[in-house]
Amino acid sequence: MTGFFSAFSQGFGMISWLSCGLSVVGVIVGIIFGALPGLNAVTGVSVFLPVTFFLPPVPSIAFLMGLYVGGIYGGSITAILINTPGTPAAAATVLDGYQLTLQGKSRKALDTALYASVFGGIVSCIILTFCAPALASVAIKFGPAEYFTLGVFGMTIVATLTTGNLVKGLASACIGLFLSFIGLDPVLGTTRLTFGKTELLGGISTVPACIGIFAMTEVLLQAERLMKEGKSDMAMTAGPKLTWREFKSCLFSIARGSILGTIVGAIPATGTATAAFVSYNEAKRTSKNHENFGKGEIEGVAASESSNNAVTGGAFIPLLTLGVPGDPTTAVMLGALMVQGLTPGPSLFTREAPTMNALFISLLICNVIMLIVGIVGNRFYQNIIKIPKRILQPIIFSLCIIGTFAISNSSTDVLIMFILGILGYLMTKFGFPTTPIILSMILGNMTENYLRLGLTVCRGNYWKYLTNKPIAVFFMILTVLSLAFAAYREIETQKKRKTAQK
Amino acid sequence: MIEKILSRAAGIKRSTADIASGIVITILSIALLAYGIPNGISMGQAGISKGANNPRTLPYAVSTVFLVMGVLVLITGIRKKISEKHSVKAEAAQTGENESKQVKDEISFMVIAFVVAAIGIAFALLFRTVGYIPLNLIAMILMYYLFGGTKWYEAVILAVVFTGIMVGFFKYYLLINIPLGLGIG
Repeated sequence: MTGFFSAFSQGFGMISWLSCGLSVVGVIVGIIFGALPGLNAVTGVSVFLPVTFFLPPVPSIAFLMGLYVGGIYGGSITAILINTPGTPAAAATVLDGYQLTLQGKSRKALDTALYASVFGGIVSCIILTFCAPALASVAIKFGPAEYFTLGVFGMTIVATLTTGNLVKGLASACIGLFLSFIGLDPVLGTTRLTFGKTELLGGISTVPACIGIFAMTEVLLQAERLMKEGKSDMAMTAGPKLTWREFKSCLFSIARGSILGTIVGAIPATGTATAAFVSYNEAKRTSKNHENFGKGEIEGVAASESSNNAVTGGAFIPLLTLGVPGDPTTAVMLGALMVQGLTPGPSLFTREAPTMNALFISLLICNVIMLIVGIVGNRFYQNIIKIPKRILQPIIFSLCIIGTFAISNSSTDVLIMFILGILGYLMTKFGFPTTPIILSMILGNMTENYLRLGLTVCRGNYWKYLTNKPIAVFFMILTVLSLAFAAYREIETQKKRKTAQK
Repeated sequence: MIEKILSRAAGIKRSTADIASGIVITILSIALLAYGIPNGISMGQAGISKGANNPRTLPYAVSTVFLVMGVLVLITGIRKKISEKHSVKAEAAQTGENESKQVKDEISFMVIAFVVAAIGIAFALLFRTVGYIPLNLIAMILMYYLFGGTKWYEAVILAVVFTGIMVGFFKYYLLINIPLGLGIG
């Protein structure tokens, strides 16, 4: 223990003003990258990676960490204010964040997102510092069976998201799954539903789908609303700040989201969006205000934001302990660490203990900086909704196009984004929820890949294969419980509806 | 026909919208089961793709669920329609004229959304050939007017300034290979 504290104080000594300054720059640039549709933390870290080659190890990694945490948080700003999740991680934030904006409570939503993100980031950093090796040993046990059952458990979120509208929710989820099938078969590499179009071989990526389903659908709905109401500039207010009482009521969801986010982040290749949806689902399932979720509930924003930012610390666990990046951003950071002579692996913690502790402290500092930048920034971000619609909507429209194109230099992605925008618009008009499309696109790929891999490994006897894995059994039990609970809620909602009709 | 479909979507009667969407989903899922999957997903090498582990299993399963959901939406719509029948009959005499006007209004409201979408699709199709700068300038000016703008100079300033910022940031700062058009690059 004495050795740990000595290494920790040595690590603290390695934090320079340069590290702090670069963390500030990293967080600000990261927030901008996260907020712009089509750009995200991965793009930010990749663009600025060469800059770090000329810097000492701690300041360079601190800078990249700033970009990472800022990038994840930044997605929530546009998600809340203009229904445009800058990153898929913010897709769950849209559900209640934008509803709060429509109710004139955008400031509350922005504050909740900020405090929850910082809380999640700090909790994950503490877990990273003290429990990294223990969590890494669990994460390494994840094989096809565990990933598949985790994916199936994630899919049950559709049932919670669409309480009272389950049939339509499941139909939307089927559309999402079909979109995830397009491209190459994950096992055989044969083409699926591409119908000879080479542009579709890579499949439909989640970012154009998110932009289309959320942002473009909203642009189309706004155009229609404008025609109906006949005025261009409806005044929208930002409303009051978040009160301590409101924050306190979300604290349990934030704490749970932080832990869930760290755990999901530690499992390689699961992603921030999965973490956010799992946390949102749990919050909705257990909240006293569960009926208000999806209609503008700050607890929903708190749950998803705490979880997606907690992924930042979680994703470092397999990276630093095993050399396995937890997500695409940490994969780029793996390169940065190697350039600095820090080869990740179990021996890194003994070989470079002070440097490792300096990195953990840097991550903590980045989160504190994000809090300060966010408190100042929220005063300015809230003004976005005060921009007249005749100015704001053309900007969103144009931003959606350039952001979608920037992902992979593809005009086909832009076309797909618009087609999904029309689909989202029509589905909204017909009373179908659109979020299950995104959720099943995110989880569909992962679930199918690991199901097929598992089937190949076990030669068809999948049930025996699944039941031999304790973690997979755990997720199967969770899935059954989650479905039973959703069914109970659905019956309750139908009963209430019937009573209200009478 | 289009008018009929749009009026179903206008949200005037949820039951009609449910019946219409139920029919669309049912037809779509049957088309996927009968044509889309057999013709759009190749089986690969027979030896590897034997049994449940083949590229068509999951798409077939999802299509079947989709079909069931379509039928359920359709049944729900029909049930709602039947229960609505009496109240609709009672209201028909009073609101018959108003409702048909409402349908026409709703369709015209939806048309504006389709105009916006058409601008976007034209943008995507012409992106490579015409280039970003001219397309974005035109699209932003059109969008400005569609969203209630009236001052031409405001539209031009908005389009020029925003296009300039986007080109500067994405093309010259992030070095993304955007076809700019106008012979620039």
